[in-house]
Amino acid sequence: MASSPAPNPVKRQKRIDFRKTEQQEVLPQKRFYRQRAHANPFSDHRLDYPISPQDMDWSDYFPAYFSKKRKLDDTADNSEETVEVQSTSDVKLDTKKVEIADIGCGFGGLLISLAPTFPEKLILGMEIRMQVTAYVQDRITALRNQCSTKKEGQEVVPGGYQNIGIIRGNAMKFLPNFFEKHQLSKMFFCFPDPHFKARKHKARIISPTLLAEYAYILRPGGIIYTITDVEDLHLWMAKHLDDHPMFERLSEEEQENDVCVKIMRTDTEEGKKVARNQGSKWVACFRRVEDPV
Amino acid sequence: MSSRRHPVQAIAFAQSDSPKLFIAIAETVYAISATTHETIATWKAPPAPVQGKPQSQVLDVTGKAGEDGDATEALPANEEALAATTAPKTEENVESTDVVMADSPPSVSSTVGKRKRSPSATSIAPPETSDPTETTTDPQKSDKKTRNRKKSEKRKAKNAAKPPPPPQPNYIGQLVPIISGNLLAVTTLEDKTLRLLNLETLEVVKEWVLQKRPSAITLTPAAILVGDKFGDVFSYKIPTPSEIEENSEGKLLLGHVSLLTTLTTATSPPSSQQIGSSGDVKKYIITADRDEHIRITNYPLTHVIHGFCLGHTAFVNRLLATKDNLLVSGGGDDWLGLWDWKGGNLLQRVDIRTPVDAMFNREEAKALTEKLRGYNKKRKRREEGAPEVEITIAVTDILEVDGKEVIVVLEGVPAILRYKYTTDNKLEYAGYVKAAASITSLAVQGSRIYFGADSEEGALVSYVDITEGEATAKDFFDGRSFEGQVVEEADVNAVNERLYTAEAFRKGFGGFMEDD
Ligand SMILES: C[S@@+](CC[C@H](N)C(=O)[O-])C[C@H]1O[C@@H](n2cnc3c(N)ncnc32)[C@H](O)[C@@H]1O
Repeated sequence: MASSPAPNPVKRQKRIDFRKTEQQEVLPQKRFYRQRAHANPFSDHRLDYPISPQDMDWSDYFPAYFSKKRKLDDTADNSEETVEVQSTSDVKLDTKKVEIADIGCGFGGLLISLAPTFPEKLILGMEIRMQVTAYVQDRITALRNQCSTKKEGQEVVPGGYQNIGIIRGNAMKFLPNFFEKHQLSKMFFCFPDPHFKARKHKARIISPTLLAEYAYILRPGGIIYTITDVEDLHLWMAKHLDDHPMFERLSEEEQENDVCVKIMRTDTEEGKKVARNQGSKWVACFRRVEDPV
Repeated sequence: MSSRRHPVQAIAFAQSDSPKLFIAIAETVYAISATTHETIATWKAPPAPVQGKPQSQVLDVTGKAGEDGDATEALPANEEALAATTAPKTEENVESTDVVMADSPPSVSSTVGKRKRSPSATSIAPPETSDPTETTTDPQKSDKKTRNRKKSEKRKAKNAAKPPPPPQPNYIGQLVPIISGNLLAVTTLEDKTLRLLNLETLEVVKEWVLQKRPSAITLTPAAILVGDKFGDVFSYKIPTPSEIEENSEGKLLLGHVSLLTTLTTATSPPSSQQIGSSGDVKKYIITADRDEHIRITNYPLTHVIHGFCLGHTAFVNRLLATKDNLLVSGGGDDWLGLWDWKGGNLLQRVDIRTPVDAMFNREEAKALTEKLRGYNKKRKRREEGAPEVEITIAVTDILEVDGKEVIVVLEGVPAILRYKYTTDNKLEYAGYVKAAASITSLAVQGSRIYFGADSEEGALVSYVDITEGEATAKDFFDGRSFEGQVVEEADVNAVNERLYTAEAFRKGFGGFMEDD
């Protein structure tokens, strides 16, 4: 991971100290991971992304499922952002691919709820803000450690949180670098940034042109889930998905029977905030149709 | 640097009834007879409308406080650089007071710059009641919000105080002859307009105001495809004579969230192998962006992406679909990509670095390095420890000559690199054509290459025939002077920044929006 100077050295030190603790099982505190609310999807940032999906080394993100592709580069200053490798797996390595993506996952609540719901599937959160990503990473690591050092009376979590990962990335630019054609079966867009002004609509994460890219990455039959508390944005997303020939809307019944919709309503941090403020939540789900012949 | 002649920034050849060369110098297009070399017609782009942002519109009444972020936020890298030399954007003026959702696909009117909007979507889902059990509040958060709001107010105040920048010349972007329609498609960069000119008289017969600054153009048999700095590609129907007067609108075909650098079309199987009018021919649009992507999109079903050609590690700036249906790509990497584009496979990395390094002796290489560093003020100056010789590679053109070889031009480099096909369909370096100075425009007609060079002494336009053994460039005007345009000393830097834009696409430049 390319790392840029952290804005606050004290917080940075706290995060580093936190990670130094051997087999950290304490959950990280959000306040050490604060960052400005919005990141510009057009700008370069200092992102690290593979040249192509074949070049991606997933072992840093799902150490129980992937073997290392390359040696860790000792000279690179990536000690803070890389993940500890755990080799305790009884699963066959390199047989699975990421199948579910939470786009703009924020603080990771959805991932953590999805993990035991789909213990056999690899689920990736993608988040553009570095500190938020770091928080989710530390959160996942702590949860994994809690599971691997099982204490008496502790409930077994299916998958042990080995099946969720978080990566920093700009999903509006680089999804094809991470995912092959038809790789995903589910994509979540939970409470995306609304970009209210018309001038900024191109910055919205659901747009007619981006939908072609999502359709490319989703397999036929795969599902896009959207939820927002901003009615305008809901209408916008539903309209563009409705208009797009590669997507068809799930029926009300299908939608309400989908376990993911239940989780999405209650378990993302943004969703919880909306609930606290007694706001409304709008859901729209769409199936990716077969490719035209 | 002293004043100099303005080089030709765009060139095109039209093999019409009377063969013509079209050249663009700053804001002017010249149609020149290819036989007599006399100027037949000229067209000067009108000045771009003054784009000062009225004070009242600086205050944002539609966005939520803190929602806005940076004032320049919606600009992609590089557009920012342009914005610095440009008045505030028309689209801002149009859209900042506009809360209505844009329709889809966005359309561009052929008469005025304003976009039409369709009524917003009407599908409504029932709102849900929220969970009242969660009551935690976060005092830190609201704190931060106020801070953000203050910050953004400050920023706005600062923007409001800025005097409007001076009007910029309305440079010609691209020139594309449309022989079948006897038209010349011309884009202009400052007023962001696509015009169709009569191929003989250069009279404007049609125009479309674009949403964003155009950065790429190509033709299909029926349409002009224009890519823009914000990554979108719009299609404009080529009008028949009876349709010229009709209003027609651009149609959004596809979009990258990046600067769209170039686009081309291809078919599978290639047109050379198509028998009759077989229905099995598939058509594609191939687009490239500043973020190393090459995308293959079905055409006309542009909602279906066929695949990507991934492998570049720097911006992609030019694409060429060859007669054998391979794809050649080039940009900020030291090599050209040769692709089986249908399968997304990189067949060959064709070395550019070695021939370029071999082209110059040490003194020449040092001088060229200085020159390259001077072209753009955002480019790295000679810093402590920077090497004396550092020839940056930025491909600005790739063309195929007569189906026989591929020629390549690099920003600032006074040569045309030649690559020949080997028997197993790879590319092999085959020497270079020397130019008097850096090559600013390139066109091919048959076995002949036409190019503009940025030199005071050399020819304004040169040509060279690759079937000739020597392949040395000759002066198109044969020593006669051409009216052209002079760049005053004070404008030299501004002109350079317009002519030499490719290297600035490179990341890690420092000047662009590499925020965190
Ligand atoms: C309002 S938050 C919602 C977070 C989370 N999904 C939830 O429901 O709690 C939107 C998130 O999307 C992230 N984001 C915005 N644009 C993004 C992009 N292009 N790629 C990845 N993440 C993005 C933002 O940084 C932010 O964390």
